[in-house]
Amino acid sequence: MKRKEFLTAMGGFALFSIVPSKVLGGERHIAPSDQLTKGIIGVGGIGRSSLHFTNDESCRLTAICDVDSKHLDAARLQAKDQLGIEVKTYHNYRDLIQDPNVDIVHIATPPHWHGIMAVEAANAGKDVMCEKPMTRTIGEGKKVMEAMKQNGRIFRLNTWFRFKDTFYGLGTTVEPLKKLVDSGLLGWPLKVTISGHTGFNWKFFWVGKENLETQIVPSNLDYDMWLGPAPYKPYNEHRTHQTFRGYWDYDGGGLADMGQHYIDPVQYILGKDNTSPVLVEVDAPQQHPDAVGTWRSIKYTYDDGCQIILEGEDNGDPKAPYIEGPKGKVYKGFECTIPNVMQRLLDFPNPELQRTDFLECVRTRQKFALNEENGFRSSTIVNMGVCALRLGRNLKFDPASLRFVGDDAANQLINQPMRNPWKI
Amino acid sequence: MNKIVKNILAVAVLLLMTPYLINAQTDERNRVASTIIADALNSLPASDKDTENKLMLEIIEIGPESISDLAKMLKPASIGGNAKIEYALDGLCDFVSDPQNRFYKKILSDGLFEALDVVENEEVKAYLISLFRNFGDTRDADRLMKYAESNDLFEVTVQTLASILGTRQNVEEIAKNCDANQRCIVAYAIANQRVGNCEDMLIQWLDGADAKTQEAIYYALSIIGTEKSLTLLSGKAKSAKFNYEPTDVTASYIRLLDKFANMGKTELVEPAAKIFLKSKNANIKIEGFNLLSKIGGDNYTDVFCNALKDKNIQVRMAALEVLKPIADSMVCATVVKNMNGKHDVEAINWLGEVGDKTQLEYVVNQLNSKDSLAVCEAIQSIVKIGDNDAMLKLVPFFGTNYQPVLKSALISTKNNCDVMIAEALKGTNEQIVGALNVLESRTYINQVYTVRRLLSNDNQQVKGAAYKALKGVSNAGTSEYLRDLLVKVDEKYVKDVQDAIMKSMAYANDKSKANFVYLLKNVEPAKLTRFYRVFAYFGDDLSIMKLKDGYKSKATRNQALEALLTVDNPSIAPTLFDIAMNDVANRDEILTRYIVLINKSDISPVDKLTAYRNVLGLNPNDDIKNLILKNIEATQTYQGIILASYYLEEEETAQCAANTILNIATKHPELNGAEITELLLKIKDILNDGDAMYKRTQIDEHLKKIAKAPKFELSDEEKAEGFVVLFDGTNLDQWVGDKTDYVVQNGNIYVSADYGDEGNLYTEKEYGDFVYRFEFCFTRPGVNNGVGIRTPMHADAAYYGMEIQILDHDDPIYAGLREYQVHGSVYGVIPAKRIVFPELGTWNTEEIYAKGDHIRVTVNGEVIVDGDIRKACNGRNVAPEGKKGATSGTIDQNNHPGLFNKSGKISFCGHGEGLLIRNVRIKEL
Repeated sequence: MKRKEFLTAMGGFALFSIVPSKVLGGERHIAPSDQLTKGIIGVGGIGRSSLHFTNDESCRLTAICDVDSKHLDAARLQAKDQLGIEVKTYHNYRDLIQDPNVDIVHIATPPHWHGIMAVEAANAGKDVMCEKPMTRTIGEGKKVMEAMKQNGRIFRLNTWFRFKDTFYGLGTTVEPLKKLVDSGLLGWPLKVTISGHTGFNWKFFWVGKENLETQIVPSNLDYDMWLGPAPYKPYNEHRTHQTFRGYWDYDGGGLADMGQHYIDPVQYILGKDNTSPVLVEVDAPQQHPDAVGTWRSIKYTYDDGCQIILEGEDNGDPKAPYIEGPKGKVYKGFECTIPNVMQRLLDFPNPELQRTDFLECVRTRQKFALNEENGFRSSTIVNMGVCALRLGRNLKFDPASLRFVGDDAANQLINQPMRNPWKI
Repeated sequence: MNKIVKNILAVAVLLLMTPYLINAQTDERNRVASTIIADALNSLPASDKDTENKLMLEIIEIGPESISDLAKMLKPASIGGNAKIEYALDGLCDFVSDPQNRFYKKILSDGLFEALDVVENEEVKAYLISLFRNFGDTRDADRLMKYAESNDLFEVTVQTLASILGTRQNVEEIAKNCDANQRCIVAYAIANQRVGNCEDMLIQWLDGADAKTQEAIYYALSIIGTEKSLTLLSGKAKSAKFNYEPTDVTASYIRLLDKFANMGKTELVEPAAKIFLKSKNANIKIEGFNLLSKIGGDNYTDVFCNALKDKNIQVRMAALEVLKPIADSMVCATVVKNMNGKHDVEAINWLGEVGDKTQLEYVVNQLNSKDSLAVCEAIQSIVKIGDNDAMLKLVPFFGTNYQPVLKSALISTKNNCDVMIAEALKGTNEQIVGALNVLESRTYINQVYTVRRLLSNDNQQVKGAAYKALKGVSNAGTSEYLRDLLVKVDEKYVKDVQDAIMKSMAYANDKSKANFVYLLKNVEPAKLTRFYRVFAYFGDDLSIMKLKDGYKSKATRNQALEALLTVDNPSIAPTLFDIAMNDVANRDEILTRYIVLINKSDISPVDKLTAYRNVLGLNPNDDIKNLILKNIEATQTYQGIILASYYLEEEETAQCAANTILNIATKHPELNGAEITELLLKIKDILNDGDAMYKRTQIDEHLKKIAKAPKFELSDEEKAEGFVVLFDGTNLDQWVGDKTDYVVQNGNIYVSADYGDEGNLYTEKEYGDFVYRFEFCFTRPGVNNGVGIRTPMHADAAYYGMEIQILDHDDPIYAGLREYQVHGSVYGVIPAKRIVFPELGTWNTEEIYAKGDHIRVTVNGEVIVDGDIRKACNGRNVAPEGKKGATSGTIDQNNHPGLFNKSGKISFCGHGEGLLIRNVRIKEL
């Protein structure tokens, strides 16, 4: 069977439902023609990690792309040695996106590329797996959302705490928290505190350096393409691989890089996947226009009074609960002030089931649990914080128009100019 | 904040009357403009918004010159070192872009333009132009136009213009005059500003344009285009076969169609969408659906429904998606008609999502499908739809392979499923077990009597499942029944009944708990042990007493202890400790629980330490010792450090002890006694985990922070000469003034003055002629301070006494420094020889010799001032009275009324943090 036809053939076996296939017993055999394929853009740190640099029966790795020839070579060898496969290598992501042997484009570049690549991949008819943070600006996130819808693409944002794994300091998955909140036992509105004291580390070592000296660009790196839409700044290695997180042009420090891990599940728990806060308040030292610095606290308020409070390292109340409602509190380690809470929860329905098998979603064309829409909303919270931090002032936000209210300078940060000739 | 707002408003009013505050003068703190700027730069980045606002206000109040002076200090990015100035300029942009500070916009604009006229480096210019993005207005846009003439500045200027609101005319003018290779940039600017007039021009530009420029032009046309552009884009997209290619024209075509669809232009959108539907590309077909859906989906039901027969699942699913908002009974019937037997899974799933009840028969029929996926999907959709009759058809699936699917659907739905559960509980044994299995995870209280009946079922599986299901049919009303049941139930169901009791008592208050316990008075002791787990769950005083009683009796001791260890109430801790004292066999287990409860409890850190100390006194095993050592950290006390230090010797506990000491000590720099220093040095050698390297660095840093310098003592020579010590590293006893910003730290005076306070520290005594010696050290660049001599308090020593400047004059922020401002100068009166400082953090020695009019300053052994203050100003320290325009004879032409004071205090005059001072001594002459 030709690859082009595979999608038409697979409706028959694809497990549509949310229930994992193993429920029915037995592992399915996947015919080669039914396999999906993926290409990875950005094979530096995360793209080459054991988690993503995979090749198996259900999804073949066929192509990789990087603007650093060292990364590209290393990844090609890794594919050969560890996975036993030959992969196509690309320097320009547009070539990978146009490769007919790629079904899923996995974007593992620094965040300033995420938006452009995701939109173009969608326009080329590809499904997308994108590393967090989803996009570097609110405007880019909106474009990604539109492109996915227009082209009918399946999108996965790659953070996962809303549906699996121990949620940091809570010592449990998010599920019982969601069930507890939905039950109403805590009352409403709720205040969520994300801090070192409640079990979350903001990684303030991901800050930038000021007064970077100009260095010679290594011959293996296409720095111009690495920068892409970002403003031109003289090369210094600290701007690029691994440490790029410390510069506003590409990312936004611990807030932007860990924020979506921490905040996305909160949006889910609070049932705010279709909206955004209306106010963000910051307390921080002045930020440098280029190098990301630290902050003390960032407070988000929704129109119904729910709040998300981020406390920087060693800041805030050491005894703060993770979730606080008028009728109860939940502390680190899921310690709850409501007596016998597990017994009480038996009276309530479990949270709605989520679709958590991305490949299954691609085959059956169902939205993934964390997709371009709810992913955009949690990315927007992070980016609202970044805007307020950079301007050093509190901002009001309209969740419907996705604009700041009464602050032109803040709105300038929603869509930032891209370096010629890039656009989204 | 309010204060600042008021201040700003007050200034705003002032501004309306005078263009700017008079900058040649000094502010209320007697600082000249250059000092204000240098002080501000020195304080950046501001520690918080209020400070930032205050500093920005100070700069901007001086007027445009201050801005342009700042901007002129910028070096090209390739040279760098601009951070301070970038903080200032970016901070100023943020400041004026705040709507409440809009009055100041013009000062910033004027200043930046002033600098742009002078600055020659293009990188610096580009940076300055880009600053207008944040706050610029149309007036700025007009002034920026000329920079678009420079090739190097073209992109930044156009992008900046495009970011400023209301610059259509500017962009249009640039578009008319730009070169072919600049069109790409301009096209995006046209799109950004939505310059409608440019459509024809853009289309002309396509002639001979490269792919990048075409991409930009198509993009711009997709934003501003009319029907004309639509025709053009349509042709180009068709030629590209609607594929993604370098000019991305298809995406632009779609964007414009979307725009027209949103405007309701059916006549334009419909034909295009229908062409899309014929495309081979699924994503293009899908956009066809989206467009039709936007211009009125219900007119295209047939189109969408026909697509349900498509071979490609992507197309079918997209069609189903656009059918969702218009899913009436007709649509649902057609969906079923078109998908029945071919794509059942998709159809059933869709019917479940739209909650349709009209096609339930079809969905129910699918329960008989041979395709197990269709069956799964049907089960889930039926539960989702929540129709009782349909749900009854699910009964046969209990206890089959589909049990997990059915169970997960039932426990996560909000629909009431009582009827079908009840029916299942009447069914076959497999069905009954299956339904009971659901009740284990979700309360169905209405089934209480059925479940009770099933407890005596002959079938062991049914019986066992019924006991497990008991908690799902428990509430406050069932506790009495369950209590009786627990007494008589077969041993193997005891835990299930206990679980059910716990569920039934989940909301019980102490009174009802007490009542429950009281009614057990006639239960024989052997059976009472069955309630121990419940007592522990209650955790109230009465229940705990029952458990203690149980512990006293040998027959029930073990069960009671087991229960006591699960009580989740810190008040039981003392009881546990008492038991541990005597119960050697179970001691470790009891103590472990005890420690957990102590850690959880609300008692004070000191009390917690006492509890831990008591446990350690029993010499427990190493696991317990280590658990305690970890818990000590939470007390964050000096006593905790000392307690932990006793466990550094044994290898088994040394790591935990060391980490605890580290994690307390490093958070408390005030704990800087010799004991702490010693301990930290000791644990440096002990720590050996993966992060040990990092931790050793942490210790070194901390030790530096708390290091106590030895007390300063005079050398024999100085002693003989008659010097006396004014500061020996320990206290400020001989000083008055600002002792909150001048802090004794590690044997030094640390100047932490950070605005707000007066910032001066004075000797207690007054001095006339003297030799004054001290050492100083800059801990950050740009430090500005000074030694006031013969000065009164609360006055500016530079004018009402003398100020011997202390200044890191090599910092770039002092580029415009006058000679009489460099380090060591008698400020404004006698310039010093400019010395070259050793690198930051090095100590410098200084001596100030003052005898009559003779002043001599020696730094690091080098004489840098040696002069006569009277001669230096020709005896004219103030301007002669009555003469207009006359100035004093001093080099700075300011009045120095205190220059010839006979005596006064000696002071340090702070302008911000970063200075260390030590070994201060004086000899009076």
